[in-house]
Amino acid sequence: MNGVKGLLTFVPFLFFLTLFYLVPLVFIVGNVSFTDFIGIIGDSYIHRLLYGTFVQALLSTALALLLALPLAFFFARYSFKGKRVLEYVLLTTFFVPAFTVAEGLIVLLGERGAINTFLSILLGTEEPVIKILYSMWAVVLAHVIYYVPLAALILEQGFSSIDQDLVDAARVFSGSLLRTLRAVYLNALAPYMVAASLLVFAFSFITYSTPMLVGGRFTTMEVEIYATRFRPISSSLALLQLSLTLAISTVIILFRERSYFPPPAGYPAEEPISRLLSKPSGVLLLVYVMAIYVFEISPVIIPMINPFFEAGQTPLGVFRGLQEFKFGFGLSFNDILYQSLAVAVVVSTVSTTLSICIVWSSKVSGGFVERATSVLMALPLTVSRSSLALGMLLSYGFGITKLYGSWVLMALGQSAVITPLATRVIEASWSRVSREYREAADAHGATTLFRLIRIEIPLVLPALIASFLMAFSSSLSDFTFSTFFSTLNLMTLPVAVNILIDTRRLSLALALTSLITTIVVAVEVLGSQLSRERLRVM
Amino acid sequence: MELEVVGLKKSFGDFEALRGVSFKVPSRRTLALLGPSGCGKTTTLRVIAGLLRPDGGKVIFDGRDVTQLPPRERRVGVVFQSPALFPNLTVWENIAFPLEARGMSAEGIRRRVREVVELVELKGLENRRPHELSRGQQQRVAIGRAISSEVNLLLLDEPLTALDENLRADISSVIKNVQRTLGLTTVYVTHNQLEAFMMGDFIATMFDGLVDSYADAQTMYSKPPTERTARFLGFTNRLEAEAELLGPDILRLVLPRGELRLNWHGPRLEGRVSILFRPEDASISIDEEGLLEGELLSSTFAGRNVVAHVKTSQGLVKCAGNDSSRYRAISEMIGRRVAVAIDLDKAVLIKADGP
Repeated sequence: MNGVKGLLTFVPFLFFLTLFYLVPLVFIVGNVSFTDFIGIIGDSYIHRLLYGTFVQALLSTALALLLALPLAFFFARYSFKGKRVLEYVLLTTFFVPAFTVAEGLIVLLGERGAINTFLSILLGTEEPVIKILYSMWAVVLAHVIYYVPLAALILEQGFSSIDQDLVDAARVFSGSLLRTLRAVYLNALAPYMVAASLLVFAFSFITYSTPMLVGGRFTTMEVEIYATRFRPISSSLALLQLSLTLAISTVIILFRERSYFPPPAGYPAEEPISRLLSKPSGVLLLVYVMAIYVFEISPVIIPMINPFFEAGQTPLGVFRGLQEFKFGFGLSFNDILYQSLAVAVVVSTVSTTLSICIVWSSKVSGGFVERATSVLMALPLTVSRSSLALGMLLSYGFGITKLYGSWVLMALGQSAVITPLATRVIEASWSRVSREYREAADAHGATTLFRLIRIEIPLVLPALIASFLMAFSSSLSDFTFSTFFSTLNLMTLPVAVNILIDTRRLSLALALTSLITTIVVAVEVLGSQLSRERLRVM
Repeated sequence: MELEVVGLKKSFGDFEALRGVSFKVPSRRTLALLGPSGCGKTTTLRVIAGLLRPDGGKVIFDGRDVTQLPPRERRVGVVFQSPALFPNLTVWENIAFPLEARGMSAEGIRRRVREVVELVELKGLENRRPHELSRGQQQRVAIGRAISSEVNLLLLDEPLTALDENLRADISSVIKNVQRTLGLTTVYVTHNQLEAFMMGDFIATMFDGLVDSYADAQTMYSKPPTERTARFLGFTNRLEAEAELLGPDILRLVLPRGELRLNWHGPRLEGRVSILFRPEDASISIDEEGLLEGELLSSTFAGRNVVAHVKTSQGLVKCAGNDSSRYRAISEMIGRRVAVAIDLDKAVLIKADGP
C-alpha cells in the first residue's frame, strides 16, 4: 500500500477521533483557567471527592471479584442443561441500564422497602434496620451487583484455561493443596484477575447514574462535573477527570497488549453438575450460586414487577398514569418515547456505519494502521463520559455549532461512546474472516469494493446487526448524555425516569424503567444470539 | 502461456523467505515446486499470483513483466490448501465469482459455469453451500472457481494435503483432466514427492528460499542433480569414494572394499565423489559380496521387506532392499560383520560437497 492510500485508509478513524474527541477536548482545555485548575488541585473538597470516588471504586472492585470467583469456577468446571441460558440470565444485570439496578435498590432497601419492612416485622421495630441507601455503600452495592457478571465472565475464561493435567501434575509433585493452588491456579488466573479488576475499577471510577440516584450526599467526580456544567470550574474538573481516566485507560491497554491470556485448555471437559451433590463443599457451592442469582436478579426483577403489585394498579393503569404525566414544557410520555427511539435509531445507524468504515479501512491497510486503530479505539471505553459530555456541550452545544437543545447533540454524544463498542464487536468478527477468503477473492479478480460487498459484509452481517442492536439498547439506556443534553423540549426515557424519581413518582418511574429494561433485554438477547462478540470485554 | 520468474526476493522482517528464486515453465506444462515446509514455495506462488509484492525480481508472463500488476489483472486461478470457498455463496456462485468480478454478462456467466460444473463433475450440487459438501467436493469447487474465468495460469498450493488417500487420487485426476482439457500452464506446490512426480512435467526443488534443482520429472526421480535434492528425494545413504575417469565413458571408483569400474555417461567426475543411494537399493549380502561392510546393528520386519541398519566406516547405512523372507536369517546376524550390496545403476554420483 503506497503512502497516499495508507493515509486515506486512516481517514475514517481520524474523522471519528477529531469529531468526537479532539474537538471537545480542545474546547475543554480552551475553557480551563489556570487559576481554577490550580485551585481545584489544592481544594480539600475535590480531594475528598476524589478520595471517595477512588475508595468506592476500590471497594466495588474487591467485592465484585470476591463474589465472582466461586461463580466463575462453577461455570468453568460444571456442565448442565440450560447452562448457557443461566449465564445469559446473569449477564442481564450487566446489560440492563444502570438506573434499573439503582431503582431496584431503592425498592428493596428504602426505609419502607421490601427488606426493611420484612426485617422490621421480624425484629418488631418501627425503625428501618438497614440504612445504607443514599450513601457510598449503596453505590458500592449497586456496582457489585452490576459488575459481578462481568468479573465472572472474565474469570471463567481464566478457570477454563487451567489444564487438569497440570493440576494433577502439581498435586503429584508438590503434595500440598496450597502449593498446587499457587503453582497452577494463581498462575493461570492472575492475568484474568488483573483484567477483571482493572475493568471493574475503571467502570466504577466513571460511575454517574448510580451515585446520582442512590448516592445521596455521596458524590463522584462525574456527578460533580454535571452539577457544575454551566460554571467555568467544570472545565478544570473535566480536565482533571479526563487525565485520570485516560491514565486508567492507558494502564488497561498496556496491560492488555503486554499480557498473555492462556486460551481454554480443552481438558478437562466440564464435569456433570451431579458430582457437586456428592460432597458437602459442592452443595455449598451450589447454594452460593443460587444465592448470587437471587442477589443479582432481584434488583432487576423487583422494580419491573413492583408497580404492578401496588394496590389498585394494573399494568394498563400504570401506563395510563405515564401517559397523563407532563414532563418539561408539556412533553408527553409519547413525545419522549418517540424522541428516544429516534435518537437510538440515529445513534445505531451512525455508530454502526462509522464502525464499518473504521474496521474496513484498518483491515485494508493492515499492519501498523490496523494495530494502531485497534489500540486507540480501546481508549474511549473507559474515558470520563461527563467530561466528554461537557466538551461536547462547549464545542457543539454553544461553540462552533449551537446544537444545545437539538437531538443532534444527543446523538453525537452517544455515538462518541457507542462507536468504539460497536467497532470492537465488528472488528472481532471481521478478524475471523479468513485471510484465505480475502486472498481467494483478490486472486480471482475481485476489486476491494467487490470483495467488501460480495464476501466481507455478508460474512460479518450477524455482527453488524448485533452491533446495531447493541448500539440501539446502549442509546436507550444512556443516562449521561441524556441528562447533560436534555432540555425542557428534548428528553429521552432515562431523563424521564430521573424526573419521575425527583418528583417522587416512584411507581411511575419503576413502570417506565421496566419498559426500558424489557426493550433493552429483548434487544440484547437478540444481539447475543447473533454475535458472542458483544460479550468481549478485554 | 509461458511463465518465468527471475531472481524473486521477499523478506518478512529479518526472515528471508525468497533469496533469488528463478525458473521457467513452458506453455501448457506443469511445474511441481517441491520442498520442505518453510522453504518458500507458497511465498513464490503468492508472489506469482500477485498476492504478495516481491522485494526484488520479476514475474514474467509470455515475456511481459507483470510484477507490479494487481492480482485481478494477472488472470490467474488459484487453488489453496484449504478450499477457501466463500461460505456465504453456493457452489454455483463460488464458481461464478471470478466471472462476476470481471464483469461478464449474466448469460456468459451461466454458460461458463455450466461448462465448468461439467468439467469438475459437480452436476446436481450447484445450489449447495460449502458446508453441505464433502471435502473432496469442496476441492472440486475450488478448482472450478480457479479455472472458471479464462485464466492464463493455474496455481495450486498443496491442494491434496488435507485429503485422505482415496480423495487424493480422485482430486489429482480432476486436476490432470482440467489441466489437459484447458491446456493450462500450471504451478503445483507440494512437500510431497509422490504428488510432485504424479503432477509435474518438471520438478523444481526448493530449500531455504532458493531453487536447488530443476529437471524433468523422470530425471529428477532417477538422477537428481544435487546432493541436497537427492537426499530430500530419498537418497538418504551416502558414501564417499575416489573417482577417476579412465576413458571417455569409463569411471573408476575406489571404495573401502576395493575398486570397481562403471560405464559413465554423466558429467566429468574426478576426485572425491558422493555416492547417494536409496535404502531400497541396498541389501545385506549373504554371500559377503558387496561394496561395503560393517556391523549389523538392527533389523526390523516391515511387511514386504526387512529394514536393517549397518554401521560402516563411512557412517550408518540403511538397507531396505532385503526380502522379508530373509528376516530371521538377517536377525541372527545382528552384532556380526556383514557385507552391503548396492545397486549402483540406481545410485547417484555427485562431486562431493561436504558431509
